[in-house]
Amino acid sequence: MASSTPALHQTPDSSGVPEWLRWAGFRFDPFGPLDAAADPHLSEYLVGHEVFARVWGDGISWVFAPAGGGKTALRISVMQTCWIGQETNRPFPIPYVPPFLAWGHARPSEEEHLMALTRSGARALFLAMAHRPHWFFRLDVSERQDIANLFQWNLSGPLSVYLNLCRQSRQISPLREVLDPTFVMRDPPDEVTLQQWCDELESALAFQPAPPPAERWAHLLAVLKMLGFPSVYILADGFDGAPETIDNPMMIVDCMRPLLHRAEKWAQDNVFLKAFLPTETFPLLAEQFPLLLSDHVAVIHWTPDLLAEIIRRRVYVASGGNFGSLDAVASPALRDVETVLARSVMPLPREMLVLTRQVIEEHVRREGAEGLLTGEDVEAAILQYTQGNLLLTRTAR
Amino acid sequence: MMRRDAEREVSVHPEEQASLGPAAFLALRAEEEPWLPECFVPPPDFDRISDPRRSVVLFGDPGSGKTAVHRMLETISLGTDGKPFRLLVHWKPALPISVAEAGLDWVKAMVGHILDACADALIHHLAGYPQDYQKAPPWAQARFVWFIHRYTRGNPMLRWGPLVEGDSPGAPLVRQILSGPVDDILYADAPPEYVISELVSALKALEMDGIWILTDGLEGWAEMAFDRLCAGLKAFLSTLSLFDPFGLIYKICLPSELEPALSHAGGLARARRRVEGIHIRWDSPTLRRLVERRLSLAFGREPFPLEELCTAAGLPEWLEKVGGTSPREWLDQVAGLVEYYTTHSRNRPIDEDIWKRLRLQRPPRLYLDDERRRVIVGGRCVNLEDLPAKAYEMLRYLYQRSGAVVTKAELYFRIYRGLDRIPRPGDKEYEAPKEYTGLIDTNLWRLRQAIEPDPSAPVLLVTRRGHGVVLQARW
Repeated sequence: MASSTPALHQTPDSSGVPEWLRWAGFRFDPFGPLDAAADPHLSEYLVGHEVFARVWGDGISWVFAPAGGGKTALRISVMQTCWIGQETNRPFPIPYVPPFLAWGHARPSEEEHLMALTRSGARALFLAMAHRPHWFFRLDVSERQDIANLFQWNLSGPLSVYLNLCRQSRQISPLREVLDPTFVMRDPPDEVTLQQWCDELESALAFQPAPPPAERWAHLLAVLKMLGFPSVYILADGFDGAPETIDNPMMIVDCMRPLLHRAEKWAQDNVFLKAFLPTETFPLLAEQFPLLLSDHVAVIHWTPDLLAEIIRRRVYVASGGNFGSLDAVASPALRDVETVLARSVMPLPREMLVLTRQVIEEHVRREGAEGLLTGEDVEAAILQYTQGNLLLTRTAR
Repeated sequence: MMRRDAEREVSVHPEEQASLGPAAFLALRAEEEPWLPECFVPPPDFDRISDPRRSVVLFGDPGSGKTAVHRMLETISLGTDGKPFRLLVHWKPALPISVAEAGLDWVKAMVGHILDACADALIHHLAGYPQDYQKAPPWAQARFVWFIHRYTRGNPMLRWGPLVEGDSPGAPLVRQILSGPVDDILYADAPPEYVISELVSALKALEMDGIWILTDGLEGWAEMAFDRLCAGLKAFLSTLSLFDPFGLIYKICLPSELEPALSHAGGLARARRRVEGIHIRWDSPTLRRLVERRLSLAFGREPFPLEELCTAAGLPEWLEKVGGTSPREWLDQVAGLVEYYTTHSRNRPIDEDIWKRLRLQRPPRLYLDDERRRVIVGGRCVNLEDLPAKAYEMLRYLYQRSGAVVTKAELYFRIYRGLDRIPRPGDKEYEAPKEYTGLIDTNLWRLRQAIEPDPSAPVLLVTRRGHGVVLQARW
């Protein structure tokens, strides 16, 4: 996909940055995707901080951060932690980004939420099961039928379409690309097992009419319980992704309200809402739902050290572990590049990535696609970055 | 046609037969310059603009080269064999009926338009490269057929009929796509972001690198419906996060005047790392390179330094002053020289005296926007802060009578005295010229200081000795 972190030879890019990255020993561009949801390597270089500990665990939890503050990265990190291992002994994550464009409005009813949640859950389970067919193989006939019906009723297209995609491509990556590019589960099955799963899943299909949304949601939860998942995490993110909500925290709260009314009841059934929201919604939610927000509330704060660590970690992974800092590809006079950059940006990961990439762009512009980064590159990038921000700040007034 | 004309003009020089001649400086509109890729010089930020993974809103003033950049984004999306390696989709947003209407409902409708435009681009691509389709795996073929049928507005057979009727190599394939069976890939209520992900995954099977949505030519709309356009674009950009993971990239060219409104919270300021706002900025060395590249194209000689066109020492400084940061104005100033060079000087460099005469014949373009009290000369916005109100009124009066000689008496009695006619000796309002000539001259001097690139040698506000002054406005 164009938005995925590209291997350096794949995506045409006229900037010269890929050439420099290759020259410097990077296997891929770790500074390209600014959005966590578009970064297939995210799990490899997530910087852990104490917020993760607050989110993880059986309980309703809240993460508040500004745009670009790492909410989606954290949400994906929780999701990927759920998928560790071969078995169903960890929570089942439902990544829930409200389908605003399918609704065409931002005031969804409970039924609309449930329908969208069920669809997201079915997508996640289908993808997970394609990676772990043995979860399916060990079921009896009636349980298999339940699973097949769940997919038939709730995937965005006919089950056969997805099965054919697996069969014809003989691999799982095209399925991941269409269903969820951020999905990471290690050790996918071999081709034969994948084909077998497709065949057996298809043969389990009974073609029953779909029940109403509330029943379909209950059916999903029942299936997950049957599979052995101890709990379900609803990872709610992207509620500010509509014109009506992007600048309107009250509207976000209104949009979430049906979920919030259900959250406590769900918690009793081991279904836990975990919301990743813009900071501005915190006071409104605290006022209107004080009991829900009494615990497990985290506000993401990024320190320069943590921001610097983001870059170091990415450098380490993208260089195949050969080096862990941009210092390795900078002139000797330039020391602790990451910290210098971290002190110059707004304290947000996305900003840190923007500035780091700008340093490389400056270098390529001045010196070409080879050579060590210099202090001049860093200074020029910081100047550009600062001017860009001043322009935005001034025009935004 | 232009190229053939140009070839005729320079046919006396056998080694330059493939050159364009003055035609290279004729239109100065990227959309009318098919040969643009041959002489394109990218603005300093082109790398960021063309980043394959980043959505960009590109701001620029008229003549700043937005359309040229837009066209080059298309050109760099072609492989060495001329085949696009990403789906290029041209889209112009429809305006919301009111600012209040610019919500999800409207965005949903716009996404419908975009999907239709994608279907248009896709079927044209497949018609042009049918072998790509034949090589694609069946699952990808099924998605193409489904997408074209489902997201083409109106009857696909009527829309794409002309592609079927032709005898192009792609016609049988288009016929097959339009008349063959259609598998349902997604249900009708599937979110559009999933639709895009299906299309992008199928494009990958053709070794295509996602989708670029290209938007240009919204200048007129900004004039007509500024608020609605801003509201619509803000609404649109707010939903960009939904498409981020799926390989849909926007490259949107907009007039600069929209930048403040769009940068406001909710627009680029919030989504700015998802969609980067870039203002086209040119520096003088790059603009000079741009002129010289075009001279090379005009005369078939590489390199073609500016000095070979004109030896006047003051020309570079003049271009900087008059052209400012606008490529079009730099080229416009050189256009007159190119014409003379071709027709009169027999391709010998133009000297200082002739250049001074030519610039008087072809002064920089002057535009007065009375509503916003703004004067633009060439590529530069004139500073009117120090200009007295009466001097500005004089300029407006002269502008309305561009090209006509206006007497000092007319300026005095009409502007300063507010009379509707010029009194004669003996009339009650009459004053002798010596009473007001100094006042008018002072204001003309101030005007020249403000608008003339070189006030000591005026080319815009020119004195016709014994008659008056004339404003040589050309736009």
